[in-house]
Amino acid sequence: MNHILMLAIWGMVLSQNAPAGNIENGKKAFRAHGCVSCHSYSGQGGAGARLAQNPITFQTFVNYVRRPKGTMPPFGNQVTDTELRDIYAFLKSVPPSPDPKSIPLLNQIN
Amino acid sequence: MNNSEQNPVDRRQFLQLAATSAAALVGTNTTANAQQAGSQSAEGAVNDNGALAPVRAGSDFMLDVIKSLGFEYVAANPGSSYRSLHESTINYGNNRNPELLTCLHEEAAVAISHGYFKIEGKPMLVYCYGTVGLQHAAMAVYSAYCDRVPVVLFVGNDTDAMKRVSRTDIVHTAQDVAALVRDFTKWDDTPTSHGHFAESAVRAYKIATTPPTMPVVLSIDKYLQELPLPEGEALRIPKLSPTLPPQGDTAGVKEIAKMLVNAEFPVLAVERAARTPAGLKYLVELAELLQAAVFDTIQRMNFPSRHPLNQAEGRGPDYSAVSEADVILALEHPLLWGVVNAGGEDGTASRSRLKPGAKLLSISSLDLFSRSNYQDFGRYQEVDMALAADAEETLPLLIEEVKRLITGDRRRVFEARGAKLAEASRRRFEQNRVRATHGWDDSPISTARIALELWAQIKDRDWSLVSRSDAMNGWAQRFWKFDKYYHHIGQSGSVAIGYSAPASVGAALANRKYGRLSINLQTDGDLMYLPGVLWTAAHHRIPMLTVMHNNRAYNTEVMQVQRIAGLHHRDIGRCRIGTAIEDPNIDYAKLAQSMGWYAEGPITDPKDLGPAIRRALAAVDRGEPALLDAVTQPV
Repeated sequence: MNHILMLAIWGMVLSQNAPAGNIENGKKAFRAHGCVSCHSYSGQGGAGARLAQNPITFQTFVNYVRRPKGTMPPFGNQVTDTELRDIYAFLKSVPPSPDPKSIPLLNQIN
Repeated sequence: MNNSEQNPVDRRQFLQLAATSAAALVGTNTTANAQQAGSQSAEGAVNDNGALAPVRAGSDFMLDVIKSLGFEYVAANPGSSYRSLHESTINYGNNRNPELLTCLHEEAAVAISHGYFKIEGKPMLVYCYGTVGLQHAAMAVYSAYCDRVPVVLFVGNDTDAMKRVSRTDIVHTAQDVAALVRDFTKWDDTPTSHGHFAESAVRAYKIATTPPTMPVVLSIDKYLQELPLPEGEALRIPKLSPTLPPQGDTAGVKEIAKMLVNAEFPVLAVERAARTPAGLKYLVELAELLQAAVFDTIQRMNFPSRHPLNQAEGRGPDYSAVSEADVILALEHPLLWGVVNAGGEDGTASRSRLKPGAKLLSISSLDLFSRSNYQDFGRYQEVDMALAADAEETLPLLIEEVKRLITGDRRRVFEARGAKLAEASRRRFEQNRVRATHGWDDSPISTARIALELWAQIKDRDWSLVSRSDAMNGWAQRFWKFDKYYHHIGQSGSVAIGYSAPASVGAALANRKYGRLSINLQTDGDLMYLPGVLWTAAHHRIPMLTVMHNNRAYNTEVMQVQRIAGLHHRDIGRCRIGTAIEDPNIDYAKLAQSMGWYAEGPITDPKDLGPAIRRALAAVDRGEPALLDAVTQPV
């Protein structure tokens, strides 16, 4: 348990140490490289994983985009380091999802 | 689209033929046999008022046969090779039972009949041009075949070469017209007399509606339809004698019951198990008796979506629990291999999900009928016992046997198992509730938001989802309470784009007389195959609410091409070329309005959706079809 907690803290530290990126450029690059078809326009997930607000480190993010596992296509060097920084900044900028309890439509379905 | 070509020669030949035929009709005095037509004397050709006496044509007798089979509707795009049947339907039959539905494409006609069957439980008739019409219809016939849906097609054809006059007659004729669809129909025939037609029509209906149910075709000679019935021809309409679906062998059913009752973790894997509302009732009873997990591919309304034993995850089952199963009973499930194996895509090895010693059992009518060419039967899966029988017909026997074998001890085990499964379902439901919040206020609109905005306004009404059952990325399945047989109509069978829009119109037509609210969750790519069905719905006053899932692309194909570009180490960003439906964006509201629908859109702000649904439902309540063009997230 402590081990997992330490990893999570380390991840957050690394995440905070991610190089600054341009959010607007990241939003454009996310669309231009076709990420939206699986992850949706704001990285909320769909056929692919949810990326918005997802606390993985920048380096893990870069490694996965370039050489992913599973069905995601490998981007290799198709995305530049600058674009990856911008996309990462964009995904981190997406506001947190609302609490389900705050959405009346989600409380009428029981 | 397949009317006679309007060149001067063809038109002249048509007029000559018409004059010749009229002379022939008067000359032969139009008398049919006494039993069928009544007497029509020669002097009766012109009565005292100068009116021409009606002619008793072959197609009139054909219509008598059609009426005897109880068809409510006939869907058709007009074509000259069945013009006599067309005319008999509207005049001799007074366009009632069957009523002619004007369709703008033969594929639409067949898909409308496909959707109609899913609600009404009986076939719709389709009239179709022999060659070009059947070629247009073929894709929808294939969907009906894969989905085990009976469609009865009457195909006009000019059999006698000596009677082919115009270019149209010549190029719209085939020696064996049904050959085109023989690989994906259950039966066909080419009757050569009226008596032969009567027997073949009744036989076709009987074959189509006997499990496994499938489409059938009759090729109907143009002149057999058009010429008067020969005088004194003895004609009778055979009585339809429906075939009882085959029930499973009693000893086999007892053995299956024993294995299910003694199992630690039995699973019911269902594909097209519930043919009728009774099938749904039986499946619930069996699952609850055993407290068994149910994996439902939602090809039919087999099992309630929110039932605690349903191991569903939106667009299909969550197969994670298969590895716990020691007995799996597959009911009308042709793709069992995919249930018990995972992976195997892109040349990678598949792996079995089964634990050692797990037993596989199957009850399926598909074991009684197979075709070779189109391999919709899937990979070969070994099973420990297979009953060649109709699952729905066999379930009452199986239920009784299970009841007989359950002891108090086993019941306590079942209750513990059921509680565990219910907890898994509850956890999935809560996870989905959180997932639905992601992108809740995003524009374009999330598909979860659309499903929930709709549900809030339909949940207290008598509703029916008439599009594909996994529409809106399965969000309706996750949250709506599907528990009546008409709550959804399953899938296309062929996974073909172009099925959903016409099938929804056919299902909505069937729902109309029951006063149900028909909801169509419509993808943009699918609608553009056969947009003319919007006109058919408006023309025939079929009320329904269509909400677009407009992601402006064939998004599944975008992802497929992206995947391949990745495997080939090439540009993934270019994969909207040839897959996106943008530049210009299609205005679906205007498209629908142009064909007589109430329509709004494009709607991009999720806050506008609820009020728009309210206005559209008001239009539907007035008896109109209504469309909302919701612009959505890609998935």
